[in-house]
Amino acid sequence: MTGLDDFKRVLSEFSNLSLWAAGASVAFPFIASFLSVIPPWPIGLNVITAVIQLVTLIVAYQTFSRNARRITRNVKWLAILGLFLLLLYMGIFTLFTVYIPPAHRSIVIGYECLPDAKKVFEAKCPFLTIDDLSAAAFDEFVLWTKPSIMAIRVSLVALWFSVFICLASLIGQFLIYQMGRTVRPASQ
Amino acid sequence: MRSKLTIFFRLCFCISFCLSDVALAQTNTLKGTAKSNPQAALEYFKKTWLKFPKDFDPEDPSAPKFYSVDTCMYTDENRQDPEATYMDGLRIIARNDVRLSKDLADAGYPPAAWREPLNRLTRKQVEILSQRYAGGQSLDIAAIKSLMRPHEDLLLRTLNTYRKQSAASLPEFETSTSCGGDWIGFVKVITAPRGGSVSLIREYFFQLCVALGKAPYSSECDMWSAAGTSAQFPQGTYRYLARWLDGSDECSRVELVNAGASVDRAQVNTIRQTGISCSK
Repeated sequence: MTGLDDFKRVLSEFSNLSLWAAGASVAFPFIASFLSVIPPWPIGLNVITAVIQLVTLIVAYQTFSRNARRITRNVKWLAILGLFLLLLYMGIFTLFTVYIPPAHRSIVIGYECLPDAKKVFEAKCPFLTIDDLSAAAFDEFVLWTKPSIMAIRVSLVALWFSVFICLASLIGQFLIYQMGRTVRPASQ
Repeated sequence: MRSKLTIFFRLCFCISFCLSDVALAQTNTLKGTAKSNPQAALEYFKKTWLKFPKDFDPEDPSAPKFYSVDTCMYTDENRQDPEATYMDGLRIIARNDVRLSKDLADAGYPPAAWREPLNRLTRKQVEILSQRYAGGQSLDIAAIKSLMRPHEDLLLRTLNTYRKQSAASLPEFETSTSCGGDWIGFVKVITAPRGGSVSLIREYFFQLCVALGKAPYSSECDMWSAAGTSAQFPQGTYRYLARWLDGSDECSRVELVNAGASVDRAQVNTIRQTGISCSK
């Protein structure tokens, strides 16, 4: 058995576990569970995230340490960091996206209105509503500055990737460690 | 052997250097031509595009064909160099001309019906682009599109007149009122009873005119667009100004909705005569 065979075994375990998490309906590890809050931009982010998870798993496998205490500490900190990043992501997602029911998708808005939009919406800026977006024919670039939309888009994607890097790293380390352990049968 | 190889590599280096020099000289000549005689540069770009007719074939030949008159210049918006944007703009105008010529021919319109009107449209866009570039004005896609809208409508009217008079079975060409954007869907507007003429403005631009102290229903507020049968608008909230055949004017706010499954196919929305006159 080569090291690659061993890694394939880890990958298989990882996919099994992720399919379980996603309701055994999709092939993208864990991502399906979060599809309702996936960043609206760019399109095809679920596939990119799956690749990033795979790379994270490879890194976790290559840098694996057999030190049980270190693994426990890593898993604990990754869980806390992952949760914090997820909450931060959800906060930004809630503040800076507007769900458009007819299109069944969200639009990322900016944090700074254009001067003309400030004249129209005044104090309401930058947190405009779906009606305000409809007034601009759902063209966010007419209402918010391009750099502010870009900053929010990139922040959402960066946080999204960070959450999944934490998740893949945590589960990867856990699996590799547990698969290498010999569990003695419980004494009668 | 070694000396032969050295000579060979030196030769390669010299040839590539000369070729890059020739390419650079050609590029510089082209830029010079584009500034002094933009129409000549356009002809050069058109010839280049015509060498690759396959580029204009549809990605999915089985998909229903969507015929449009589109003067949007989709260039790299992040470019800071006006000269590069200008050169890209000329290339795209040439591409749009070649694509539209091919679409019109494929659709079955005879060249006599569209060649000259299309030439006028293309010449006008080159004129607008080159004048704005020379004057140091913005080459923004939306600004140029809004200046081109009346000329697009003119070409559409010419095509529609030919279609109605000579060959009603020919496919109708359409246009969109704006370029790009994260649109939800597109809509078209018809009137009930037929024959009314409608102008539309996005609610946001209407409110902007109010905020700027411009009379929103006057020509002072310059974001109104004529909603002919071929014009498409992105879905959203609009103000309309309708003039009916009996001479009455009506105006109101309206939600134009595309409830269909396809974002690309415009849904027809009807503006009905209400009998309530417009109080501007």
